[in-house]
Amino acid sequence: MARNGVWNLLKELDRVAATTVFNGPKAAAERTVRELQQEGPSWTGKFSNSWQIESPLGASGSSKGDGQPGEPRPIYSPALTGQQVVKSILTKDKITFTISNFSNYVPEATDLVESAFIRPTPMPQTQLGLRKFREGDGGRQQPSYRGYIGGGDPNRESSATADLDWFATYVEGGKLDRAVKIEMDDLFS
Amino acid sequence: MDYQAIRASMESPLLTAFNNLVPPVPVYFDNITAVPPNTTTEYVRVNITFGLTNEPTLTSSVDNARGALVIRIFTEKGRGPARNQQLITTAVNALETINDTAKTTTGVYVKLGEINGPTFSATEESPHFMGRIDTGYTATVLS
Repeated sequence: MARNGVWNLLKELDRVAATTVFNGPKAAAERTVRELQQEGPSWTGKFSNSWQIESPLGASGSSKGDGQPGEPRPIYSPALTGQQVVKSILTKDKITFTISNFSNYVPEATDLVESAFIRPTPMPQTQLGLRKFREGDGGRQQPSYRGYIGGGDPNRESSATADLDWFATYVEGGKLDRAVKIEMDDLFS
Repeated sequence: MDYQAIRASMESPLLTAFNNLVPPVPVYFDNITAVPPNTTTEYVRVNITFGLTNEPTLTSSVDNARGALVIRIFTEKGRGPARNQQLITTAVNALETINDTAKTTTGVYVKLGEINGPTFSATEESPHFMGRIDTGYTATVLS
């Protein structure tokens, strides 16, 4: 192979490797968001449509939900060319995608703080919420954690559309690891 | 799979640790709602959840489960964090005891991951100051 040919091949291999290094975590981040949308609460749907993925490439590789009501809508980071990826990640020693939720109610939704909960509508507005809807024995203790239902006024009602500590369970109970593993395995299969 | 044994392997050391305090601090587990509402009584809530069961790549054994252990400490609001942190220390010590327990040939072998927190919060409506820690666990049921 001519010298230029070898050089071009090496450059191309670099590009493929860089794209792989980028696309694996990108796919894992997208899967993670899809799963978090399913695991988390869904009443109006605003919370599950408020996830965002921040790419190490900045705005060009990032994406976010619209924060609007409705069934969970998956979010996908824009596809990037190998050249874009190579240029951007050559100076980095790690590729980090950041997943977050920009809803105003993240601490309440993830069972981190207590609050006084009032149903915005009598029943969940999404099919996902209706499917996961469960009622407690009586009203809530006020204030309470989102997932603690029942135990309060027997003449009142309480309900939730996600289990208590759903977020901690997703992150620490193996599902996050599984999401990453599936996507990384897919990349090399 | 023996979920109850897994649960007990974490609940028992925590219950013992808080019962051994003077005075003892009440501990409430999942599906127990008899928590003193709207009082300044201090107490502890322990919630154990299950994530993946029999994850094939976890160990050579298939009788395993992963999940999360969340401990919430409630102490009187407006009196500083010291008491809450004392109780969190009790909880963390109990978790370290679980992690230091050697693997045997029977029963349940539990390993805990890193501990997140403590984080603290207080709301206007609640009479309590809350401290929270959580960790992941891997449990193997040994035959």
